[in-house]
Amino acid sequence: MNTDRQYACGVDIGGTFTDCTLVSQDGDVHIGKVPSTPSDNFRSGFFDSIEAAGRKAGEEPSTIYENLTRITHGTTIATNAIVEGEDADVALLTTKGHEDTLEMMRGIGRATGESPANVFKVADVPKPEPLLPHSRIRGIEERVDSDGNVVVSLDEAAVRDAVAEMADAHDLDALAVSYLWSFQNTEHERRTREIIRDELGDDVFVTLSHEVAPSVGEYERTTATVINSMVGPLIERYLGDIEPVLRDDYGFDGSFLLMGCNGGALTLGRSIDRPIMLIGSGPVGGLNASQQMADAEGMPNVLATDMGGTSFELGMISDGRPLVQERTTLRKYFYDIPKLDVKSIGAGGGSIASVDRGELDIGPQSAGSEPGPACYGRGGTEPTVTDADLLLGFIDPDAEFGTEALQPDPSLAEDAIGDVASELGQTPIETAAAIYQITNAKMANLIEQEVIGRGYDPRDYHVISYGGAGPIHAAAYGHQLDTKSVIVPGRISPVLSAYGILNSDIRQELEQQFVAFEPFDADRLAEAFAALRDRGRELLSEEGLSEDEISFDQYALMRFEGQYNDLEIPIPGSSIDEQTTDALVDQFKETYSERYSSAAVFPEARLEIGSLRVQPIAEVDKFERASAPDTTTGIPSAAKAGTRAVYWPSRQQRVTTQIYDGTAVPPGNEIDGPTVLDLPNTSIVVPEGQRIRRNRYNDFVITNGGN
Amino acid sequence: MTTPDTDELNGIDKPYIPGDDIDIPGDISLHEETVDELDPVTYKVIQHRLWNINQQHGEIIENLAVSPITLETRDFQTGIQQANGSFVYFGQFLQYFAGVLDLNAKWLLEHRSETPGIEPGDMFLTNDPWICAPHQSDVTVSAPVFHEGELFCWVANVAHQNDVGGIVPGSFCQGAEDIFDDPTPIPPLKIVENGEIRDDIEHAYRRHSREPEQLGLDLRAQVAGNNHAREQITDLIETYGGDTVKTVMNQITERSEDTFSSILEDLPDGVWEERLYQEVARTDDRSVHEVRLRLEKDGDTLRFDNEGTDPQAGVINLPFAGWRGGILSALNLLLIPGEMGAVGGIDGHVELEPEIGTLTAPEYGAAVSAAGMYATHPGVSMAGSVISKMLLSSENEELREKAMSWFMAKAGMTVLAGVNQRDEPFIGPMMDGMIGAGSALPHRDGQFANGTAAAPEGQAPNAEFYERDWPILYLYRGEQPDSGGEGYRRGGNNGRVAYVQHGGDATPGSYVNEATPVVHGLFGGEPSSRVQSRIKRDTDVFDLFEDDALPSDIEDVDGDIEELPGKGSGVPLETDDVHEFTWEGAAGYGDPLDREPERVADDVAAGRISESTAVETYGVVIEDGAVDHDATFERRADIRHKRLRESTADRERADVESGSTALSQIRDRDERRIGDYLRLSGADVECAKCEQDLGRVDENTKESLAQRSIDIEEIGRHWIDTAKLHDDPMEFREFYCPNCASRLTTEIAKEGADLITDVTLRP
Repeated sequence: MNTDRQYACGVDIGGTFTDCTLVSQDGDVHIGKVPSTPSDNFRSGFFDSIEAAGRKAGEEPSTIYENLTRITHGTTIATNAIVEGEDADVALLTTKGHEDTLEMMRGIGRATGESPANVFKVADVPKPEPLLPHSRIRGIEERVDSDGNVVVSLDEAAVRDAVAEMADAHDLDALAVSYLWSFQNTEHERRTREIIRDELGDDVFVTLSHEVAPSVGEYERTTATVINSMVGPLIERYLGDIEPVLRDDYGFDGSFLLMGCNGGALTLGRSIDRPIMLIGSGPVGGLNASQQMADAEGMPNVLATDMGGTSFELGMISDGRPLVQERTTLRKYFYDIPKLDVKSIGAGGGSIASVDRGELDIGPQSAGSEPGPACYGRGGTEPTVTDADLLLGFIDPDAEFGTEALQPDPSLAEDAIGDVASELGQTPIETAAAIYQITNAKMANLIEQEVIGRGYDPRDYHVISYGGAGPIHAAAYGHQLDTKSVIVPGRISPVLSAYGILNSDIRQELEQQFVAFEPFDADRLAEAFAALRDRGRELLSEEGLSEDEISFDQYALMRFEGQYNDLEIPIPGSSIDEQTTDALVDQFKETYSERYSSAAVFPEARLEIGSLRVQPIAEVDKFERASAPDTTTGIPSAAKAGTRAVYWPSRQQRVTTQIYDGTAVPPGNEIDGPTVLDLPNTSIVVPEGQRIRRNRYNDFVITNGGN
Repeated sequence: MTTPDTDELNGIDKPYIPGDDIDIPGDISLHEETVDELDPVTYKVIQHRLWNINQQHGEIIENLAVSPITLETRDFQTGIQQANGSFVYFGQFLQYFAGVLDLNAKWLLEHRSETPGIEPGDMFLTNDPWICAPHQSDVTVSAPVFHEGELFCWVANVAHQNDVGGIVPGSFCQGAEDIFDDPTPIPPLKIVENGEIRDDIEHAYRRHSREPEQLGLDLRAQVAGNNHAREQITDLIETYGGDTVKTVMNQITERSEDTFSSILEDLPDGVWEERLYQEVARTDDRSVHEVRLRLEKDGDTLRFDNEGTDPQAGVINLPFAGWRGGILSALNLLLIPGEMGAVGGIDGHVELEPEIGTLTAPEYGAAVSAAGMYATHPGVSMAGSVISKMLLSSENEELREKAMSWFMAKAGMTVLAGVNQRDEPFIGPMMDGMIGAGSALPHRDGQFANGTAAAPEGQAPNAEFYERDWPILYLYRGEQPDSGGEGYRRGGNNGRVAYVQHGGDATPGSYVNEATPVVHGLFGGEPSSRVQSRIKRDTDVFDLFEDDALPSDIEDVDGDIEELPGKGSGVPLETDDVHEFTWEGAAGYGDPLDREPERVADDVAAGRISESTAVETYGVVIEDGAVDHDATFERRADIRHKRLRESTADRERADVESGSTALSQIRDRDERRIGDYLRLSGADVECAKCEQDLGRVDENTKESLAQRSIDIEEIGRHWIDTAKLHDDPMEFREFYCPNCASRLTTEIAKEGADLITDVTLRP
């Protein structure tokens, strides 16, 4: 490694702020937080954030780029483009006779992504607007069967005509090509791209389905192909704005990586070809940061919880690995590209409390940031979770919040809650307590649904809580679920996501259909994995990585014959023999029995491998934050921030409670609940019977115990 | 056909219909204690937990089950039930199972509490259609949950099995003579005792199937699901106490009942009817069989009966549990979807009075296994239809807008059987029909491919899934133009698929092919399309492939069309044969002449309807893509005159001016109406467009309307002469305002049959 270079950084662009976390080789963390700049395609915010962090590290803009070995970048612009419908003009070529695949949505378009109550509303809830209108879809005569044999050759003239006709009729930015079984025989799609290039040149963006989502299921594959083309031109332009400037104008010659939805970093070339991998990468930073915190503390099982203004998001790390979901839903369409599994419900600080037929409901409606909770006096009149938290005394009424330094007003909160309280026949403080408890219960429910629903036990997990409203509620839902501890990140919390992405390894996903039944043929399996590893090596070396930097994780996706849901069973090592296949069967049965109880195992059923998955990985050099030794001097008086009358729902009354300035509590100290630790923009609530400790990374850890 | 003594309704020779109070012998004690006070937070927390537990139960079944129908169509259901069997919650899976799980628990309490006894750790398995199963493929596993020695509640599930025996692979036994050709029903057996699956019972169970391993795996999915739900409820009781949890369960039901009651208050007392004809009771039958459903609302009670329904026959029977499930599920979906499956609140307001021995409440002995193809969906659709007519009779605008035309009265499916590309025997139910269609609403068109209402979370397969698993190659799969029920608001079109064998032998073991419309238009709309199945023999399809051509319409291949007989089984398919089938579209709402011409032009441009349908059915003339308004006015006027000329009206010229009143104008008026066409003035009914007197509200309005009857094949492009499949002459009856010739209602009837009553209200 070149010793001139001393830093790695993560840059995370959100709607409001662009964050940069810069870490030196010594583990010093420097933070840059600047406004995002949508007006210039987020470009200046990107550079400003790096320079802001650089200045804190004592580097001038003229030196910081040269001293950076790596920039890892997280962006939500791909996600936003699709969600907000500001995507490219796309046309689709597909196998003739199957032009309606997208529109049919497998018959579940109405219900996809809807809440349970809406699923029952078969009359009220419609299908979504089509991803592409009929006029943008052309059927091409060609047919490949499930084994990859050509049944009908590609009608090249038809491709040519369709491309010319579509380009004439529409101002096309991109084309998507999705033929049946193309991933079993890629020839027709590849030839189609050549014809498109012949006809339209290199300016039009082209996605081939077998390259973007090479797995069985034409609806999901076609959806992925079209969405990839919908965001492709935009991402190409965006990265084209940033990368040459970094290299040519600022002299950056480290690696430039993008954060992918699977939790791995992507090289630039891969990001441009498969921009769909950037969609849904928003929560990945927080999850990766949680994983690093968990790794540092030796915790294999973590629930990463992010409670912001409008929603509560949950990701899971089990046995040291983040849980991955196969399916992504966008605009009620869905596709199957592995992505970190993050579940969301409408329970945030801005979620609105209302009464429906005598029952108190929280969310999913949110006051958001405009007008925001009633207590901020910006026009919000409906009671929110934050208003309840303030009234209960969990939030410091004298503190200033957000960029506008708003001071919350408890009387406004009380007025807003008062209306709901009178409908319920309660006092405002009783209703505030009910809002607090129901919100906690909703979050606990989501966790329970996800954790228990997958056959895991919340008692084996630590909660990591971040986001503005999270630490106020985390101890309560952690307690309800009897988790091992609740951890609230300390200094890095304002830029947690940017911190999370900066050490992400380059990781890609390769999958291949592989139909095999028990007993498994070890040679055939070995051969298929070897081919996948070769492809992985090829991919990463095209991106400039050398062979000795590349390692592989490999998995067999297995089930009992006939089941639809697979279990992903890891296969360690590259040599595969009969012992490996025997171990695979045992491992499947063990995992199955752990997840679904031994009552679910049926010894007579035959095992099936449906597909193989290989993740080529190139590990990056890790820049880890430094830790501080525990202090022995106790809590300094400066950390004591007086008392507040806090209403503790468990006692159903206000109790004069010692408050601390969380930032001033040195590592190694413990405080028993009930107490509240005020932090910039949030606070940590520690109820009676729980205890909080600051650890060597300056994070806070809440456990059972204390008074 | 008798109205039996309730003691006979015990699930032995006659269907099990429990009385209001069930009779539980032995010393089993039901937990009924509650707490006096329950704070709203605790209520909410436990209510959410219970819902979650039931959801997780469903997810476990999805994760572990193997039956393709179960997985794709969500043809399963999970429930939490009170100790006495009544529902607390059931899930968003297949809806007509609302009539299943509670019946099983009640029957168990009445008949199994002494021997072999109901103990902690037990589960009971059944697929008996005279107790609780809509047909034998639907296997229920119910588990009692005990707390401190008392029966606290039940958790249960039901899941469709791929094969439970009978004379046809896949167990839709279209050729069955009686129950002895059908899969043998299994009355409730204690399959799990003290937490362990009983080998003896399981072996007996698996002996029923051509695919015993699938039964074994699905059984474990069902057991694991129940185990999970039971453990979770036990945890909940430990945390909050049994009395508190029980109080919440009661309140969930009470709240749903409150919602249901308040809706009933906004609905007028009256009677609404529906009728459909099941054709071809079995392979050798060439007649139609009448099925009727009558709903009477009397204060806070809804009474359903099937008076006038023909005696049980052939394989078109619907067991009582399925009939009941259809009614409960339509009530749930149309009236209280916001209660998220708390159907227990409906029960106390619904009285079911079937005549036993009929098609919708057969006695033991009838063949019922094919009900899933022919009879369960009509059960839901007929109930949906009478309830929608009731909603359209309300003064409450919000309720009127909840009415919907119906669809999917027949499963558009084919069950393949044969040898797959790996040389293994297979049974392959092709569930492409789950792509479905959307209903017409008074304010919105139905859409193509909008799933099915009866299985709100059901989904259809990818073509690639079936090609991977079974030896077939799809030629096409997509929308069929002109196939939705036309109307002021159109029903969604249906789809069609065609395939050839590829790499193995695949024979359509069961299929549906019908000629008589079974889902009728709502208040002037046209019926939804039929399920059709046909084979083109000795085609040149492989020559076309050789020549690099890919046919995407059955007309593109040369060969001989073979119309398949109704209820035929096991049609052999040769290599060169192409099999095409369709599913059903949705019925229309209102008179097509009232549809805005621009919408019709859009439909043509989008390929949803043909130009000839635009002219013939909608009276809309389109030139170069744009509506010719003058020509359209003339065309529509001609159609109105023709309607009266050919009808029983005593005038030949329609009041075109009044007839052309835009429906949107009428819908904006603040007046008491039934639907959009009938205005009420006290007890008098008049045409909302032209004020023509149409009799009294407590009489059948049809008696006052002009009637015209046409042949079925004249309805639209995809209808055929019913004589191709059966010998009973059928007609499409249109009923017009005798003055302005607006089409106010329609019906499908056997020639000479009486008129059914859409609606009569108590004046």
